[in-house]
Amino acid sequence: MNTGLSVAAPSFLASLVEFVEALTIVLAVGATRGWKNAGTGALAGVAALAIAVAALGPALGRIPIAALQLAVGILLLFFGMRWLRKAILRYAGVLPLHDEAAVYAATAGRLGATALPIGGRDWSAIATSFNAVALEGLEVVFIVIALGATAGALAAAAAGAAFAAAVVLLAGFALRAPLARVPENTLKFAVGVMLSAFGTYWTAEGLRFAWPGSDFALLGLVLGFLAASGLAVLLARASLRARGTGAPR
Amino acid sequence: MTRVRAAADELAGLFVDDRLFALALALWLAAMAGAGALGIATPQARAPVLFVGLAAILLASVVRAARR
Repeated sequence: MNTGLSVAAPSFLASLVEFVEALTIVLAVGATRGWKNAGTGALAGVAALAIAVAALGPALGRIPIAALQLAVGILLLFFGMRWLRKAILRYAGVLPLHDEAAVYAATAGRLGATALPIGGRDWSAIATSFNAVALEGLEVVFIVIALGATAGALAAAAAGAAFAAAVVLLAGFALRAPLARVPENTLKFAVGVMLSAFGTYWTAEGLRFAWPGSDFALLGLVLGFLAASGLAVLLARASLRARGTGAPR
Repeated sequence: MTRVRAAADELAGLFVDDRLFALALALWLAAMAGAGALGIATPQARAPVLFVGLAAILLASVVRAARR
């Protein structure tokens, strides 16, 4: 299997989702409280993440690969299955779909309701922008490190995330509006399947279990999680119908 | 202190959404690690069993959420 591509693809897709979510908040801050405040908060968020990566990154190289695979595999499993479960519940109609336009309107409404400070910095706007970039960025950092470090393809994982950042920034700069037409739940579903598969694979490797078919088992895990997720959507919709609350689509 | 706790909560929120779901995953991983340590089944059999258990937990959790 092409390790670089198999790591870069989920890194790109997962980062795309996170960057779209961060961009929505930063755009709402910029439109209501000024682009200087939005930019200051966003840059501070990027700087905080860079400091965290610089502090933690070198430590990863000192951890034995089996221990790293087990620890990262378990974290990736929890992270991926959380995403997958939520995407399944959204597809089935149990949870409402994530709506970037609604998030934008809510953030802009909340910030617009407070008075603009006279002179000085608008700390509320800067903090909102900072939180969005730092929190969504933290997920990107985790995904890049988890996928890249365990597979020995950190550059490919980072390239996938960087490409996603470029795509979202260019689209956001061109539109100056939330990227509401991005099929976010479909992306989360696909990424949830991939991260769950990677997490399961590395957890088993860390526990010294043996996969039939070696690396190709990863493809089997992706198909397995895809099948299980499809079945879960059908079962959840059937449960909703049985309750009489109906299920969309 | 409140900020540290809020940051810790945010960090935990990356991995845990539904506590029962997370607990079931943790217990299954512990059980599989125990099976490995005790030498139950062959290493080739344990890996697919790990996946089957995780898929079953996912299905059960989704159906449970839909029924609530």
